[in-house]
Amino acid sequence: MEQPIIQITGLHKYFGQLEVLKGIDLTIQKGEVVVVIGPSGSGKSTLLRCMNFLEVPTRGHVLFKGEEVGQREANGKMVRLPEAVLDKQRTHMGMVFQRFNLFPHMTALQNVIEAPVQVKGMEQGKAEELGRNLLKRVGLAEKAGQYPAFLSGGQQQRVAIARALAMEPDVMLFDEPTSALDPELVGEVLQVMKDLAREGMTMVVVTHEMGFAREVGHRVLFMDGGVVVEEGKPEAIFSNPQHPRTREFLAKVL
Amino acid sequence: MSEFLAHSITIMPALLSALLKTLQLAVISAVLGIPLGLMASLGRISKSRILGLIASGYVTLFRGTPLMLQVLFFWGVFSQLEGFTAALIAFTLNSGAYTAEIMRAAIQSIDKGQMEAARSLGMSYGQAMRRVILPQTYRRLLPPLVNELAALTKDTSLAMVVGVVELMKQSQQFVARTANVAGTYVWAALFYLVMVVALTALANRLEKKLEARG
Amino acid sequence: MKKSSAFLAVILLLSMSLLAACGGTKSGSDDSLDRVKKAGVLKVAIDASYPPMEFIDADGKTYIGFDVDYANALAEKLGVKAEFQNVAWDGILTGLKSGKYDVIISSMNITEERQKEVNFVEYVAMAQNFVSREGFDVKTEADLAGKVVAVQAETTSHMWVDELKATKVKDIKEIKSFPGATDAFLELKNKRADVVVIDEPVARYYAKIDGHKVTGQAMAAEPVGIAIRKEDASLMEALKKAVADTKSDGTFKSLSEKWFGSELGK
Repeated sequence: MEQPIIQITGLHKYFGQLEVLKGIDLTIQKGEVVVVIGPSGSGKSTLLRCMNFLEVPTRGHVLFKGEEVGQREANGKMVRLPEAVLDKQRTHMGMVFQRFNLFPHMTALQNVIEAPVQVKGMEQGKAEELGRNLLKRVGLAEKAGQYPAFLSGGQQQRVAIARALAMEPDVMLFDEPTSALDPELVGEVLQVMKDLAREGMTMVVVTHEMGFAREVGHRVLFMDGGVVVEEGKPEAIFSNPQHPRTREFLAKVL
Repeated sequence: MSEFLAHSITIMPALLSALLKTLQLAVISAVLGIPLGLMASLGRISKSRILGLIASGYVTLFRGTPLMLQVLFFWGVFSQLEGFTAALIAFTLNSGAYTAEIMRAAIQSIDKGQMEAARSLGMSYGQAMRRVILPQTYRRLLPPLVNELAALTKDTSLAMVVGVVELMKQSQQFVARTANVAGTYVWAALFYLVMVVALTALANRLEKKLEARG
Repeated sequence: MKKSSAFLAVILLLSMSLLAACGGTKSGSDDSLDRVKKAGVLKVAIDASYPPMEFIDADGKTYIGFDVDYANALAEKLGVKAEFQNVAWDGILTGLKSGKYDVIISSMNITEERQKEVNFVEYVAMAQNFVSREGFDVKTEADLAGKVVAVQAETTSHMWVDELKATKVKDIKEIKSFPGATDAFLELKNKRADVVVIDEPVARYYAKIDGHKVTGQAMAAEPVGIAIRKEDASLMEALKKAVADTKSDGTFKSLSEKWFGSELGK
């Protein structure tokens, strides 16, 4: 079988005394769209952020394409990998944030091509062509020269997606991408994400948008209290949740 | 009125060359102090404990002791330093320390999501700082930095205790000689005002330029 | 971080001082006189805001005054020229200790405190005078009762008046102190003070330009000296002789008369 894109074993994360992740095991195959749902405080964002080392796991292993991310075990202790190695690993993982985090002092196009030019050393002209194509793909070709301040939330998030895609990542990580959007803008972002899923992108999506999970999700994980309580195909989870906590949660949100 | 004019004409040449000294002290220490402050602020927030301690030590020392003491210290302890140089060193280090704090506050006021986004794209810490974080601080830096530079311009008068005849000392000497208080100090006040106002105007223009970039 | 950075700052400061203190000491032998003669220059520090002892000429730059002329005369006796550095009073002793100049000739009172750090070659004694404004005639310390007195801060006059008010002349109305002699006289001119107590030469200078009168002597003459580093023994000896020469050959007398109208202390 092909090597999984992401493999997580025995992941524990403490913030001070508080244990937020209490032992997670997770494997994500290429092309899979994995949706993570659960109440706030369940640890789902933390889990996602451990995948690209924005949070440092306290214990356990996170492997990306077979390689340990950010730190490795040596003599029973976790040793940080050199920053340059981590930077390189991150170029293969794209992340989309709840609050977009576009660079306000750059235009949409400049946001998109910043990393390819600075990190990959891509030539300016080539990068601009790439950038324009990506913006077209997310439906914002005409906004290339606009500053984020003049874009709606939905437009900003789509630029953010284009920005992440510009690095041609192997996996896209979405951290509640539509939670900060006005309801009428959610649809345009979800559409881009659905298109991406259908094109075969490996995606890990933390979200409350159950419709998205149903339409393009291969697997749904329900998290609560720092553990994966239940997981399965979307239909199974939504129509026939097994665990009482899953049922309780879904009753509230569906 | 004619008495005022006559006195003004007499004192003007010496006053102007003293003004030049003041300007030199202020401009050079500002120009050197800003990059120094930037390095110190980056040192303060860096993950390296050693860098952090050195930078903190420097900033604490030069913000925690009187500027006059710093000026006298360099002049008094290092026998080879002449007054102007000693004053320049003290002003630069002092200005750098205050600038460091201003910059640190500005950098830390940038949303953490910006650094996260940059790093998640694979940018190094240095690239993220240079391309994403620092450019966003420029606008935030201007008001407190202008305050600091205005204060520095006026503080240059301390150089008189190490033998530099700058604007304040030159004025005092004229007053000591002639007892013409108003007619002399009004010019000193005017010159200091012009320097500070010019600085503020320059900063305003810069701020407007930065605003246009969004 | 705060505690350890402050601690580190102290360590930095101390080690810097130690380093500099070690680096700054010269070799043990005293070659001060030779050094000055070889350089052909006696470096003199003054604070040129104290007429008529040391101040600036109308052009704002040339240094003039009794001390300036006297320093030139002494330098001539040593066979060199005097070069002046204008240092505000707060830093003038620091500069001497750190070798920026050879001597201070700036109406510096010889005090026990200062003698712990530097040596002095006495050259004149200056009394403290009363300068009264029109309508007032302060001749003795008793006359200070009920008066507003202005002095230059941190001078022997200041301390003397403070002491008086606390002990013998408790009904001195008010004592106002100022950073500069000029400020004290301005107070007098504006009728916000009735009398100024200050060094005799300065009293005479300002009395003349402002139209007041020197009405009496407050304190007996106190010695004023050339400040010199303790290790510069040979230079000090040469200066002592030079001072004595100016007294015996009439140089001192003619300079006094030029600046004060009569010999000081008489």
